[in-house]
Amino acid sequence: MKRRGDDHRVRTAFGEAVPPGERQAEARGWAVVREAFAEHEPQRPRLALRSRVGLALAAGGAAAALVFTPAGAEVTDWIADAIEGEEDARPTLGALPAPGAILTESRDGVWILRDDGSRRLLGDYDHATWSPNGLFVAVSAGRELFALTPQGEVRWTIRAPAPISAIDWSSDEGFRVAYVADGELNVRAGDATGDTLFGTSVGSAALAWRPESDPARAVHHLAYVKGTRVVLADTDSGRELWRSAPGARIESLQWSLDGTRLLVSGSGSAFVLDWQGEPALKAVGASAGASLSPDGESIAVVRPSPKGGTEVALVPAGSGGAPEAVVYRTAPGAPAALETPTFSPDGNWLLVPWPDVNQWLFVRVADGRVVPVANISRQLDSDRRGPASFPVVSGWCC
Amino acid sequence: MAMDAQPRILGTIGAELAPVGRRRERALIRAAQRGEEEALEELFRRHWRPAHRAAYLVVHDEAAAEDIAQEAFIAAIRALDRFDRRRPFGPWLHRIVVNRSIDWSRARKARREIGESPAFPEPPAPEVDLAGLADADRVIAALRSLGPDHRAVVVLRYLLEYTPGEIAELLELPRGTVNSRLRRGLDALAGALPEEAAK
Repeated sequence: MKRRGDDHRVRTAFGEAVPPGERQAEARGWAVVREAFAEHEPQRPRLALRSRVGLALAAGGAAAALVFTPAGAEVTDWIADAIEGEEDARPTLGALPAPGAILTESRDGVWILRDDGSRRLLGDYDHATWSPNGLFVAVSAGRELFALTPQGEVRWTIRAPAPISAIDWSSDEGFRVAYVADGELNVRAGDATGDTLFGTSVGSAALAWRPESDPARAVHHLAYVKGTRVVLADTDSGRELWRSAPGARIESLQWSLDGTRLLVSGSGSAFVLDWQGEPALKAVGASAGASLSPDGESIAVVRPSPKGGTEVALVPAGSGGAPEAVVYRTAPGAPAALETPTFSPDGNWLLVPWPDVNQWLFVRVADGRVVPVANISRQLDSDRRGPASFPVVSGWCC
Repeated sequence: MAMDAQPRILGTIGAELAPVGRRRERALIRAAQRGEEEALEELFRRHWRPAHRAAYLVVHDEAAAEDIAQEAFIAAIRALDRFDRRRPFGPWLHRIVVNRSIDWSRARKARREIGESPAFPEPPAPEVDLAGLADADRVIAALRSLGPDHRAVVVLRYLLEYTPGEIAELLELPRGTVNSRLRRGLDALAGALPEEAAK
């Protein structure tokens, strides 16, 4: 029932309802809006870029011809050389070229960068990984493992016996979380209520839950590294399903989205196993890591270019498929340290970090078009004092 | 109509800005369209807090409110070149903020209902003892009991000072629906306030 003065009292109460941390939120909001505005400003003529794109397009016709030409055209090459970083790099990150959100770790901690250009600092954490559908983020800080919403709200936390060096979240939306602490692999229930379900000593921090395409099958198969072998185990039963032959040191594992192929990389090379542990692709050179496309059909590798410099190439992940294609190459003598590429969730773009020139390169898979972004370390450094470290890309999710 | 489209409000907008303020705002938008960052910053400072507070009062989640306000401003910047300077900036921004806040609240409710994340059940809303709370806290607690559509209408009326007719136009609702939501909303909020002592 309405009473006299209710309007006024409600109005006054609303006027006094201040969101927690309002000033800090405003400061963060202005930083993001300002950068989006800088990106929006009319661009100066970019002759260098146009000539480069023209070159790429002209060469692209030749590339297309090569792609559809049978035998003989093993490597497609439609790129121009980048000498000292990309000259026409965007000054600010802004909107991403593909849908999804990037999880990245900087000196500040873990950030989420969304495709619309907005961003959020989740907090001062060490390692981060998306849950399979991007509903949650698992992060660690020393011995603590946290499950966060993408807004940064802590849902649960558990304490490991030693500092955590790797995390991976099972593909059935959070029922199992695996982590490595002091060389020991632990598997916990995804709601943090269960005790350790599986544990063993491991040879590296590489972990990868095999995606299960049938949600009715509540199986939890985890690939990990024992010595220099890859092991696939059913963590619920503790049964080992297969182990690969010993080889070189392994640094990362990555399943295709359908769980049929597993990319194994480390020690300057990468190879692919099928889901039964049989080789699907023999080792290829990958000096700075490799990434499997979401459809499992190709691998993006960083390797020295036979023409000098460093290149990013797409290599078929199994027999058949498209021929190799070089999608990006630095010039001979350019700072060489391109880092491990990451595919966008739709598989159409690659994010290639280039720390030596403080740039991220977004490279379109179809034609090698490059969208370079400069000043990456400073953009993910809210302190803005002293040298900022170059951020590590932890994932680009759905 | 697309959510971010410019609303058709042509009349004056409640108590938002006096005529001098509206002239200044048009000048700021023109300058921002030319790329002047100072103009954008003044627009941002004028509009951030109301937008952020409105989002917070609808979603009751500080992180989501911040995201929604950021996204609304970014959407506004993207559409800046197409913006009709004769129209006020605030309603355009508030429309984005409120619609996104409603969407976010519905999505959160849907996540709970379909159990999209069974590993992380949403904690139940705490029982709030209103005794001893300040008026503002009582009203906020009572606001949570309303659905997001009702919260949005109440916030547009009592925080952002839109008239019922303007709210109807902003949210593309019949005027009667706005009035009934306002009535129910005000009853709920006023019921949470203690009787004022007779003077």
